[in-house]
Amino acid sequence: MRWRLLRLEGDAAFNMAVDEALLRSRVPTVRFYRFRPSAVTIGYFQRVESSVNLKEAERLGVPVVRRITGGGAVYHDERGELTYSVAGPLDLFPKDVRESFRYLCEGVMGVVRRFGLEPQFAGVNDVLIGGRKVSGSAQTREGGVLLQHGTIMYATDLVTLARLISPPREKLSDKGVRSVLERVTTIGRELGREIGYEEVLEAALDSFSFLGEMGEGDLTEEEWKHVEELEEKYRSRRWNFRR
Amino acid sequence: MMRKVVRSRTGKTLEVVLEVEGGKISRLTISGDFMAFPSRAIDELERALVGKKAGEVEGVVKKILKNVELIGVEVDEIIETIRELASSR
Repeated sequence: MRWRLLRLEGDAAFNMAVDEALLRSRVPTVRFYRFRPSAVTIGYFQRVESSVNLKEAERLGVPVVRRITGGGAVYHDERGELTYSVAGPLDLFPKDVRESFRYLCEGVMGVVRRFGLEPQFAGVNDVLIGGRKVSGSAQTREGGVLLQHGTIMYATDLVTLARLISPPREKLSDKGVRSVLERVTTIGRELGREIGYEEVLEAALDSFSFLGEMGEGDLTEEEWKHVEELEEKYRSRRWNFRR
Repeated sequence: MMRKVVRSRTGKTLEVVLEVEGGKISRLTISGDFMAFPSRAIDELERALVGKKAGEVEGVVKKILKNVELIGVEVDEIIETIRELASSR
């Protein structure tokens, strides 16, 4: 199986539009990207008010966009986070949802290992280092196509993350920030050195090749048309605040 | 408007916001950081429960979520939370 490799990146609405366009297409694709500028994405079923500190997001100029995939809120730090997505016909992946998460998270685990660290797979969709979460993934399936995307934190500003993402009924306090620092980490923090995006991208290109051969590509004309339509949705209040 | 947030046995969060008029659900939002396959089943469930009484909740939820795979929340937690809010006044 030859996978199309995409490195398209932009703001949150563009990024989510591209991923949804991949779900509508049937071309097996692996994509690595950043959110420029930094953004928060929330799960398909989340309420904005319950999952994000909107005042803080406004103060920092951080856009909040609803994903098409379920799961929790994610802070995508432009300077500290790589996002991956994998999409393709269902028969390329384990049929069982949990098994398919485990299968695709191998790509994330491999990134952590390439930095000489030992990853642990936890729950259904998390990857930890030393018991602290370094990556979360989310997935959806539609029309015989699977889309999974997830985050790999290498230098995310965890204090900003803690301020932006409010676990339900936990107020913005020092205690809240401290507890996030205890539960979440980055590859750079674990290594005790600064890491750049290119280094993580290189590790990801190598690690995700367990799927098969990858070749740089672009979206088709039809996919670009979908992206344009979908971007509008992801920029609308109607979609982002629908719950 | 009534609202209830519960921590699922699986560790994720389920939040239900609901309004009752004349003993029937008139507005409903089911939200949280769970996942559902397919996702649209939850949207469908929200629509199907409008106009229903507390006593009808279990049947409707079980029917619509029958072949739906949920991760991070259980069917009985959804039923309990909606039923409790729908029957309170």
